[in-house]
Amino acid sequence: MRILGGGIFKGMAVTLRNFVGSYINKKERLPTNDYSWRADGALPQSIGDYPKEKGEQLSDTTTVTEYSRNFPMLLHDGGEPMDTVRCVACQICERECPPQCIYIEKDYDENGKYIKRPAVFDIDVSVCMSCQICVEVCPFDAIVMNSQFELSTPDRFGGLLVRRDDLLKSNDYYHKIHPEEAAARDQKMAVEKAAKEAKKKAAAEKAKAAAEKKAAEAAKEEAK
Amino acid sequence: MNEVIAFWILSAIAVLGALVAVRKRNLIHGVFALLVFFAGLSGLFLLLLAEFIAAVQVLVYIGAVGVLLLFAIMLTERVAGDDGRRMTSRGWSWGLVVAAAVFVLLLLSLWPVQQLSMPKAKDPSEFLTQISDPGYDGNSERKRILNSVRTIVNRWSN
Amino acid sequence: MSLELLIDILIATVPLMLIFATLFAFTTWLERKALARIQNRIGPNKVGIPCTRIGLFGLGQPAADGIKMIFKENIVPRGADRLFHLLAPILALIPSMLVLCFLPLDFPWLNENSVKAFLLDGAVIFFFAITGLNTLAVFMAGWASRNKYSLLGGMRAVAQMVSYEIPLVLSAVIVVMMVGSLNAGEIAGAQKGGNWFVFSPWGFAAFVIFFIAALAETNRSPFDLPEAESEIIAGYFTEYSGFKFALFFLAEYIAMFAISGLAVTLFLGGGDGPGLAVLPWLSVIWFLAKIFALIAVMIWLRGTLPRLRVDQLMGFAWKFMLPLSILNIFVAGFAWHAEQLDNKFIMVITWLISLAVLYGAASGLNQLNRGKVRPREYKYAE
Repeated sequence: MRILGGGIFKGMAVTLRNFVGSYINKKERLPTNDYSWRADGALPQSIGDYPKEKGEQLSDTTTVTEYSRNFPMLLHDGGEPMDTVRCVACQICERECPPQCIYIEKDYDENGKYIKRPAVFDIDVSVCMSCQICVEVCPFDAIVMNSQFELSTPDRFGGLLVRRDDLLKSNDYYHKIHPEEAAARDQKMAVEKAAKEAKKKAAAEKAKAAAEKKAAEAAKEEAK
Repeated sequence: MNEVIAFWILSAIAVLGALVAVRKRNLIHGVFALLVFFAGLSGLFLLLLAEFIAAVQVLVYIGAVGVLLLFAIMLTERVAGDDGRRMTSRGWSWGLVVAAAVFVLLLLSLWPVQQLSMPKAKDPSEFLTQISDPGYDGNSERKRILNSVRTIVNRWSN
Repeated sequence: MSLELLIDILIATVPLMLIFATLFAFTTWLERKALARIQNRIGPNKVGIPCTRIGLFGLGQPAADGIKMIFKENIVPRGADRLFHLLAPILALIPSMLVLCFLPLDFPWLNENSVKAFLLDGAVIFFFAITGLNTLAVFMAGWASRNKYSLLGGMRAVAQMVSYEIPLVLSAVIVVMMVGSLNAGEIAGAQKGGNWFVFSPWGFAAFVIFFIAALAETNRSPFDLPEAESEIIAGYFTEYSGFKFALFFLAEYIAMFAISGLAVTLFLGGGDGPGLAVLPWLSVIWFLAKIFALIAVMIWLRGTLPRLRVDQLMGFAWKFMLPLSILNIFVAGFAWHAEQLDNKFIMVITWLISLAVLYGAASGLNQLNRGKVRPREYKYAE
């Protein structure tokens, strides 16, 4: 039988474990202070440890835990980013985004024909609330969460708007920062692709059969 | 003497609050002026050693009625409450007559009290030491309130 | 006014203000540290002794914050009501400071002739009356800023505080019924010797309701809708900066202390604790320690629970807390009559029955109010 209000106590136990653990197990519990990339690998001891020197950055996102999800990125399948970008500029994420921080423009070739990729894809860092709804709604698995955390900038107008080319990241990078999720997504995409191909094949066969039938009928007609 | 000074200050606050509440065109300002009036009234009750009524005055009038008024203003169309419409109607002179009549009626009903013999007013320091006394009896409140009312009315009319 | 009386009043009030202002500074540091550790961060650890590199666990942070707040520019938005914009933080601070007088803190330097406001016959009523003024300050701030987020925050605050004041007062009624007095000193005195009200089924239920309602009254998480950062920036004090903002902050924390102090007075035995027979002044220490325990739970809850939605907030107040606290009053009434019989066996029966009734009612209300959980719906995606 569930105790009334038991969920609150369960949650409080979790936070208590975090609280006590952060004093006992510093290496594991204070991951943002993991200075393993540094030569001495030591935890900060006194004032002025981060950043160690002026201009130094912790931009290597692989040092962060793989459950970190901070800001969206656009996936491409390797090679020249804009050739293999998965995004087709369908604008579902733009419309679904609760704080409306995504801005997309479709790309057209010189004849005015829609080519399936975004010409502009901007996300406003200052508005994004890291809710991942864009990731959930994307039918093409084109937008996923990055764990990049050093997003601060001295430029408060242009700098907080992340442009398309900065959002583009390869699938390999995705595998590096979120291995489990990336593998699951790849498998899901493969299954979907197989299903689609099977459907296509079935449709093609059906069409072929229909065409053959029609041809046969036509031949029959001719024979008459 | 002290309580006379306190009485005049508190009643000045109350009367000024009431006047501002009537005169202000800005509704929100008017409501807060009305609350100042209530607060002054609560202070007057405290001066009459009626601390329970003072507390209830704050609780009910400032806490509940004030919030109710603010809610009513908030939920009407002009939330800002600063429209320039005149808050007085054309029949205000009749309202003045009615108000004056009620005032005179109340004054008349209090008039016979003046003829009664007046007990001496209490010193506020006596009041404060009295309420800090653990054996302080709150049940004789009514009698004391009555006495204080008489005192004040007496001062007022002299 | 006689000089002695003035000195008496100052002796009674000035230490209260000093003690609680110091505790406020310490609590801000404690809260930031605790929340940081809960989230696996370190928290403020840089500010220590000036001009040295000694960190002192960041204990200098409150002082640094205070200096920063004082010297920050005071910005009043164009079109704001300048008078009300100035008055609101002051009006927020005064009631929270004022109600501290009604906590039965028997300082050693107070004697029989001192002014003790908590021995007023209506101390508890005064407490609730004056805390109610906070609502007006919040609304004043929200309205005077002429900012839609401020106004939204003010409206949310008024709606929330009015709703949660009812369960708050109704749960305090139980203690008043049991003691038969509104005098805070008498209420604390009636619980001497470990005979606290929280150690009975009706008292415990009332304490839990009181504590939850107190969280909502002081706009603490998970009921921090009036200042929900991710929704309405900072709510009613969005447009405040500098010292006015600091005043709001101070008022909020002092209100927390005050309402925790009332919870301690009503349910946790006031200054009651071991060692009082030897050292009577220990009661103040016990009182403050109990307040701090409640504050620690508040911080812990803030680190644990996510914010409620507005409809959940209102539903919780009116559909769960209100019926439960009214039922609790009846249970406490029967228990009071059972206590008059002075029979151990009857008391045990009463305890069991009231436990069953209260728990059954709480879970029944919980079942009734349980909303249907649906998967999230998207408007545009498939």
